[in-house]
Amino acid sequence: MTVVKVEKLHKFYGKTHAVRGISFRVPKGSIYALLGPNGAGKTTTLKCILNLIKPTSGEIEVLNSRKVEKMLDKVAFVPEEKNFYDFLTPIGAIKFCERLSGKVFNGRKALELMGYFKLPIREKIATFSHGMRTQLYLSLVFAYEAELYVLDEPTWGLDPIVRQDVLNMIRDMAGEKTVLYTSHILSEVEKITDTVSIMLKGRIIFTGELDEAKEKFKCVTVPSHVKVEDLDVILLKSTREEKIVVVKGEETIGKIMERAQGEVKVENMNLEDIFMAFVRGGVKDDNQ
Amino acid sequence: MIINEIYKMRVRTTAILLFLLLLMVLFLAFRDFAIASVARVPEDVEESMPKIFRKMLGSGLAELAERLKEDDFYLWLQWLGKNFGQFVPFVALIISFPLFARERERKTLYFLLTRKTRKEVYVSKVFSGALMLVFILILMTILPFLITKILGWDISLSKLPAYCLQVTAGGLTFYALFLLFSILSKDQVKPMILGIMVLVGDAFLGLLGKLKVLNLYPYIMGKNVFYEGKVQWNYTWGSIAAIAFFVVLGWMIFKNQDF
Repeated sequence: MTVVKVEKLHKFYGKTHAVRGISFRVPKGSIYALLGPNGAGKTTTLKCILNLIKPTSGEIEVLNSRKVEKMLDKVAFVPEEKNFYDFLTPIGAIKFCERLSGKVFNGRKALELMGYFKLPIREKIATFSHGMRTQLYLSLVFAYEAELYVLDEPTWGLDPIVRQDVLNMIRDMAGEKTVLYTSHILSEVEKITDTVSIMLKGRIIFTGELDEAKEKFKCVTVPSHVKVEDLDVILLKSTREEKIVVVKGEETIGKIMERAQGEVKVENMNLEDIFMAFVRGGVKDDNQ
Repeated sequence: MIINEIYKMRVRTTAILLFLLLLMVLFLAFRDFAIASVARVPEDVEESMPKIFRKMLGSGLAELAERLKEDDFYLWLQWLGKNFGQFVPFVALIISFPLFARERERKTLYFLLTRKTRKEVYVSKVFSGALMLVFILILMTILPFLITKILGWDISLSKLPAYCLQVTAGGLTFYALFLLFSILSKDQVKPMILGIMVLVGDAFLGLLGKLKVLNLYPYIMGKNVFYEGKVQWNYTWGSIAAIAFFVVLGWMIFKNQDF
């Protein structure tokens, strides 16, 4: 079952074409990451899904409904800016959410999470640091009994220990809940994500399973005299001695091996390497 | 959701009420001083006043001082026509300008809009703001009448409903207009500055020939109610139409906005 379906989504801000006809589907129970550099269109896409931004064209379905407003009880959102009402204390914030949302908000769970994060529950949020505000926001959002969690940079500004805790929480949601999220921290995406879409300048330039991407793309080092530029590769680095290229598929690797007469080093890539290759060189993915 | 909205406004509402209560105490306590001050102004000073001020004074300071001794006149002129009346649009501005603009500026609107529909957010914000404004305006219109009555002043309560109606309609007209500014703005400064410009501009309209009709201050202050004992229905219906127009326009903008 598909929880989020995005078809040919376009968004213009005046003359700026922020999202350029992207399509993707988020399967139920998965953790789906939208990656991309700043200005790629990730946040705009999430906001279009949540009706915070009106798409210029395209179709969006959330939980089989084209009107996300009807599904708000089943959706929870952590925005990039995790600001809650400064004048409240965490306890006040729980009461606020209980009044706002009724039964879909689990106040006890929010209190437990705040306790887990060791937040001072009787101090005004105005006195909180950036990290504490993020923890508070996550406590409130994770306390919603939602089916879909949309998280925009959920761990931004957290220390490594808390970040790991939050990642564990997100990973524990998978299966029962669906998570669509963005992050700049690729190593954390790698730890928890099932499927990634890499966005660049408003387009999705790669979508696939993380393992599939790792299988598909290899980092190949060849002596500098071997000509590989005419092949489907991205040149990552070139020195007097060697060239490092990103290659997609066994066929191209075979061709390089032939030309280099065996003087080739093939290595697996982590998500960060793949991401950098896409963003710097714009590797074209056949699926798109 | 309305309770949450009212809770957000509690500091503003309390501050406004305290300020107006202080004004009311001063208005009650300084009656003799006010009359004496008016009576003490020498005639030559009155004559040297600009024409516009003399026009506002009507039949002159001596007669004004005499009339201020009438309980009804003092209450109307010094409270509804001055201390309280002039602040009605400012109260509307203070209540309305942060309603949407603060949430956008501080990015807290994301939380609301992913928990409730746009219609629910809009209605609850507009309604709770209006509720608080009407509460303040009605309370501060009625309270001095009741207090002065208890103090034994010779006050007629027959005009009170008409005063309440005009203060409320006038206040809500400004509120609905300032709401638009709040909806359109991404920060709190712009709607406040725009609101102040409107208030200053509206006061100046009173000095201009045909545009004078757009000056709502005499209506809010209940000039006609005091002198003729009647509600100014043309302004009342006009206000209701303006409120409806601004609220509907605000909704049309809000429901299509990007956040």
